[in-house]
Amino acid sequence: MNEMDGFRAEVRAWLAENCPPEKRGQMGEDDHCFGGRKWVFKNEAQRVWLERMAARGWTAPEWPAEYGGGGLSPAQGEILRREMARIDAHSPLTSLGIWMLGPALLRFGTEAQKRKYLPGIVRGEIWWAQGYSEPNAGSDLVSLQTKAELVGDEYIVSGQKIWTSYGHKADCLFGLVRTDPDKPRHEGLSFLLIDLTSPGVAASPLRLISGNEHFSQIFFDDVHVPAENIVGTRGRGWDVAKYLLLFERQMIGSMRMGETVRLSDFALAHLGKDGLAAEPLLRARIAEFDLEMAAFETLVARYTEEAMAGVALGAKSSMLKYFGTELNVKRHELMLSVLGTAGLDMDGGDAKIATDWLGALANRIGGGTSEIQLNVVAKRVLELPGG
Amino acid sequence: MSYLLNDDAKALRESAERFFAGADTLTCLRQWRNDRDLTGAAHGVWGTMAELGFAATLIPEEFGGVGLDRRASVQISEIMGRTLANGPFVSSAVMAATALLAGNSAKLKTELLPAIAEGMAIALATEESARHAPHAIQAVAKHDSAGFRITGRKVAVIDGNIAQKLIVTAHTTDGANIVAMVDANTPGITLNTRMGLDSRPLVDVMLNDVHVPESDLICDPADTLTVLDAAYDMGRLHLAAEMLGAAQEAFDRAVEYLKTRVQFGKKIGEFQALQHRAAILFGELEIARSTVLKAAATGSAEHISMAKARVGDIARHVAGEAVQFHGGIGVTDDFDLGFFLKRIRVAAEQLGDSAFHTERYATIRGL
Repeated sequence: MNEMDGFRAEVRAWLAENCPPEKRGQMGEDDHCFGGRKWVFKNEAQRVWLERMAARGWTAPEWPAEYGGGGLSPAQGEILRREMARIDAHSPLTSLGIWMLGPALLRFGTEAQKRKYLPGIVRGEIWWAQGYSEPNAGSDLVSLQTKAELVGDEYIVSGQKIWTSYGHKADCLFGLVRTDPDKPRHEGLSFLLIDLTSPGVAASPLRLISGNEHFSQIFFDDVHVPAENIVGTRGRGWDVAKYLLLFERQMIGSMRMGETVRLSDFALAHLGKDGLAAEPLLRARIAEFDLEMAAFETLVARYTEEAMAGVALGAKSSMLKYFGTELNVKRHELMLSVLGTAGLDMDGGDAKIATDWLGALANRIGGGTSEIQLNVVAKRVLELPGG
Repeated sequence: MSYLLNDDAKALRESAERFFAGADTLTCLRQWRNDRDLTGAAHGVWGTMAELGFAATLIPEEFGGVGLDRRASVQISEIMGRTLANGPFVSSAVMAATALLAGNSAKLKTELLPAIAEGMAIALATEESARHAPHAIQAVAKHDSAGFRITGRKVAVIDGNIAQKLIVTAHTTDGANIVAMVDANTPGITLNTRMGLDSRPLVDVMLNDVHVPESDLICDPADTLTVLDAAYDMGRLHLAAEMLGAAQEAFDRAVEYLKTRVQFGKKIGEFQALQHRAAILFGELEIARSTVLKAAATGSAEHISMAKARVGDIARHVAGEAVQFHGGIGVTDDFDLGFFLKRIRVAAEQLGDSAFHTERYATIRGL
């Protein structure tokens, strides 16, 4: 037995012992644990599962142990993820702190910032939100105007953020503000950490066409933030944000967005082989999509394997976001076709497919629109001229 | 399975890249086309390819080959696609070798596998209809005490005009399917050779009372379709790899053009209308490459049909866009791009187009 087999056996045994049965199986909306100061655990199993995983640092398996992480190698981290997937273990913590802020701090943060924030992220003590977009700065993110003026040892922040996921529920926010309005667009931005309980912060949810209320808008009115809360160099916030956007695109693109059933199986379950044979054009569309989706999944698998082997994915991750979200819209369109009028019943059992379809449209926009992803590939991968 | 190239595949790829970089295959192809020389595949780079061991890639060591697997051999096809190299690699070194290996004739294996490894061309004369219908065998084999007498017509025989031997299929008078090896100069065999779209020959083979002894059957009649499917699937996989290479080359040339061509006072690659299309093509080619690696690793019918269908569609899309990006020069004969477009169109059609393979995939998926 080699070292990795030994680790796998240890992980498997530990999970068998420590993952509560309630925290296994298909993950529903209510199974997500966001953590944070005000978090009320949905049940005891959720609390225990987070506590046990966090104690081993396995909510952030590859972060250094000195900051509370698991200290695992990428290969060990992959073993942990696979072993968790094997028993359908829920992710113990759904956290932008882990996906986004942590990597930013590890790369750009000071030693003091790492020690102050990372252990709390691992334990799910703070619910972090991300503040990039503004009403007049969507795809053109660099034009954002929320200003942070240095007065003494504090920044005074004024402006508005929008499309902040769970901003109205989160404890703290990381994001971009304009600290140097006289400098050229890219150079005037800084990456700042803001406590949302500070006086002058007001957040409210945004209701989407899908009915979803996860997004919010946040207003800042002379909010005082300690100057030490800047991550990286003042004026170089764009570098930090760009680095993090790569993580986000990769994550959104390869997320199955609840897709565990292949479209062909979904269609067979609803219409049967004979039903599909009676509608050759619908069957053909489903077959073509199924093949296209399976082909895309080979790309996801290849990029994942290459990343594990240490090949830098870089801006190519934009392709995952682009195809992943485009195909997801197409998939939901076809599921609605399969269901026919039954899929339109918003009080019926299949209502989720219609709302997921509307949600899929939002995913093609959030985290950088499809068009922005293509810009990124054109400029940074193909190195086409201009702009 | 792994998407990363193993050491064998890497080494073979590098050696193919080195060899074809200096082979000037495109100039040869253009010359043969201008001269209407349809035997180019026989006297082009093929002899050297065989000397370098490329023809022996898939043949086991016990039969004088190198004994590598699909993951290595598709590298050769991809590089041949990039350079439009012409030679009986897919027909003989891949498909004929696979048919022999899948069969159970020790005699034919011993006699012919070492010959293929050294460069002998053996072609599959097995298709009978313009649209791929691999199991529809109409050629008739009269069974008598001396063996079989086959009469029928085979179409679009890849490298049929230069093959020393042909693998033929027929339906016997006693209701079985057979697949057999015949000499190309056996009495009763005539060829009809035309110029194909890709400047390579398009060959029909007429079989008129062609005698085949029982001992030249490649396998038991009951296994005919299985052996045929094995050979076809390997052919499809390698055609997908070849299309990938040709499309990648067309794409790289198109991107280069976007960076140099100036209109309206700027590089045309600055126009977002073209940038977005180029970015989509890039992503599609990345998907195409992944499907080839997947199919080469598993060898399953599901994954090979996925690759042949997807790469076929993507390569045709890429080639069409590459021509469009180039504007007027893209549709001139002096410019090489058209050769890539045409080769891709032919390879997309050979051994089943994307509609055929999507249907096959759907059937495997239970639809």
